[in-house]
Amino acid sequence: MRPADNPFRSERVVSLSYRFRSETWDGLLRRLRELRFRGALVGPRGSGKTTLLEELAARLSSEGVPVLLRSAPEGAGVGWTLDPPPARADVVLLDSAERLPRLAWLRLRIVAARAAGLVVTTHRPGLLPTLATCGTDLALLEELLAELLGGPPQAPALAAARAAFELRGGDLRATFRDLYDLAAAGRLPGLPGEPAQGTAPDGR
Amino acid sequence: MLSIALRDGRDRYAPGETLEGSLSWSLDHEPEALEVRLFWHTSGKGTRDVGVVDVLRLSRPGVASEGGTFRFLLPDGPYSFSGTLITLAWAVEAVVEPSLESAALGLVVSPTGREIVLTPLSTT
Repeated sequence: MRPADNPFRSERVVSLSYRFRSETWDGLLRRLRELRFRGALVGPRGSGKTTLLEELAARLSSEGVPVLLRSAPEGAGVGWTLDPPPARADVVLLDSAERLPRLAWLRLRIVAARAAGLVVTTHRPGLLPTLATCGTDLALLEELLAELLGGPPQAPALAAARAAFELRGGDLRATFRDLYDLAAAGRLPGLPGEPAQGTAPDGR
Repeated sequence: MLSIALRDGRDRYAPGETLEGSLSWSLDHEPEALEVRLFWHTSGKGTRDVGVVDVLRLSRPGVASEGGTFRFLLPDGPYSFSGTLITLAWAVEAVVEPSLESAALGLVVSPTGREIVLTPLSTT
């Protein structure tokens, strides 16, 4: 299968929208305002925090709220800081805040105190009041799988996806990367345009 | 309506060849500009990469036109290819500003006229 035809190619996975399970956009935005635009999106790796943060940035921008969206780099040192610094009207949205050493985090808090807000994603609660908790489950996996495949997955693909999901501890991003590899190697039967396992190409 | 067509419907080219095509559009409002872009992009497992090779910009092109032509000289590379991790594909697109209405056509750019297929090296 050509990478451009792989249903799990990266541009398709990153285009999946965040799925609220018990929360709603109205509820999230109300809580954000209650928290004076200071809060954390908390959840394990591959649970949709970055997606939610990016969608939040787009929502705030569409409402005329200036946002400064950044990602803490892997291996960020104690000297890491926002460059350029945020304007007073900016809401700072920082992905992967857990990557910051404590000193860099404290400096960010000081810099962001002069801005209109600070929302971060992080793996564990405690950095800021929790704005939302992100998580994954098999139902979410199936929902996203159906979107990527353009319909309900066939049994072999679903079984492979569930196995990868378990192996990856619920990390959806890693799960879809595994499924990309399986599809690329022709080891994920039942994909659109491919015969299901045990079915000849002519349908016999 | 915005449409793009390549001369003689040809969508396979060798590096260094000239690509010719035409544009037709009929829009609700007069656009500020219309851009025709020649670019390649990757698709696959990793981060998406895009290289814009050439751009033709028409300022205030009017609400409608039939058969305006464009021409690009294709560079020496990169070739269109597919491996395990990425596909590199070429395209030409027309984009209306500021509405961002667009139309695009895929191309193959390679010495053979076909997408190069990369196969894993045998380790034996």
